Amino acid sequence: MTWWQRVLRRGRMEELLERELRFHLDAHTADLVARGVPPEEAGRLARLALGGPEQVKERCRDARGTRWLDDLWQDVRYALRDLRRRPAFAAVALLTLALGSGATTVMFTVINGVLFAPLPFADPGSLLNVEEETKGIVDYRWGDRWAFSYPNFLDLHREIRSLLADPARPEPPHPVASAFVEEYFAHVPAAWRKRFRYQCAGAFIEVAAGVFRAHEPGWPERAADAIYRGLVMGVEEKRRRNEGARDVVRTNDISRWISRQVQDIRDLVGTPGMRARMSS
Amino acid sequence: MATKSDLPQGTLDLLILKVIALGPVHGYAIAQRLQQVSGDVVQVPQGSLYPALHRLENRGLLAADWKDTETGREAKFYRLTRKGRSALHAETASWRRLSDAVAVILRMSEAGAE
Repeated sequence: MTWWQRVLRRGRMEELLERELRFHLDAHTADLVARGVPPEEAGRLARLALGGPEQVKERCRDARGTRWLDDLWQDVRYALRDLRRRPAFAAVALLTLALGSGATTVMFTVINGVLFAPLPFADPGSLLNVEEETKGIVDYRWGDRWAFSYPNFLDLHREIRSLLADPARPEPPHPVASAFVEEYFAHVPAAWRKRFRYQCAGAFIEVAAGVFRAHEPGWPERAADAIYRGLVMGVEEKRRRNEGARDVVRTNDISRWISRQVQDIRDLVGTPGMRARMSS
Repeated sequence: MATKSDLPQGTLDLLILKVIALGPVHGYAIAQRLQQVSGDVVQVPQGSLYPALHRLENRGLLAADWKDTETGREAKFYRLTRKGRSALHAETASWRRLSDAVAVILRMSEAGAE
């Protein structure tokens, strides 16, 4: 018989238990009578040997494994009767429970929101807490650390290159790509290099890829053209190119990334006379 | 008349399983048979017998059916399940190991006293 059947057929189980114990007492009494014990005395001895029938039944119910449910049901009925009899007490008890549950829920919600739930940002692990530090100005309560003002944040956001991943701003070149660029950068004239370093990483990559074809005739013109195009390129075009380059770098496919850069330069180069515009 | 002894703790289940392994039997007959076989040495606590039977039934070691006895009265007859038979073998082996070990210890004590 399953656990649920034992629960649902509780009445039937009780009836069978009663019959089983009754049979035991009768059989024992009959045995004692057969051995010459007077019937009344035999019944008493049989009951004595078995023990209190209610205690035996309780232990059998315990063994059944459903006792806790019976107890719970009895407790619930008792509690409901008691609450109905004393409505003022019931109201106070309900209010206490409501306040207790409410306070616990609020505390858990706050703790969950502040401590456990991840912050609603794409990469919460990379969030930074920015503070200002003053030299020589130390407040007795706050020390030399200060909250960051919004204009200062805007300045920082505009200038900083290593911490903020902004799709509108290029990321530093990939280390492998950077080494590749440095190798070929040696062929670029010093004057260009200076101008070149001043520019953003997007232009850096494009120029370097242009220099890749430096052994071919007319490379200075094409490189100059690439630099110029890189410098005068619109913001949206830069963003698109940087985004595309970043996607390729993310997959660690450097050869594909380089091919893409070379292709970009090929697209850029082709207009003659750029060197003249650069020097002007 | 033999001196009666209380059952060592934990052995009632084993003895019940053993008696029932011989054939379907009701609770009162289990108590009678244990006393008869032990020559009245084993005192079966009747108040513990039925909780033990119900516990073993709930654990699936025993199954029960209501059938007529020789006197024509209906009684609950317990029989061993397959799981119960395995448990009986395991418990018997465990008990033998323990009693052998106790016997060895007792023999050593006697030898040491001589």
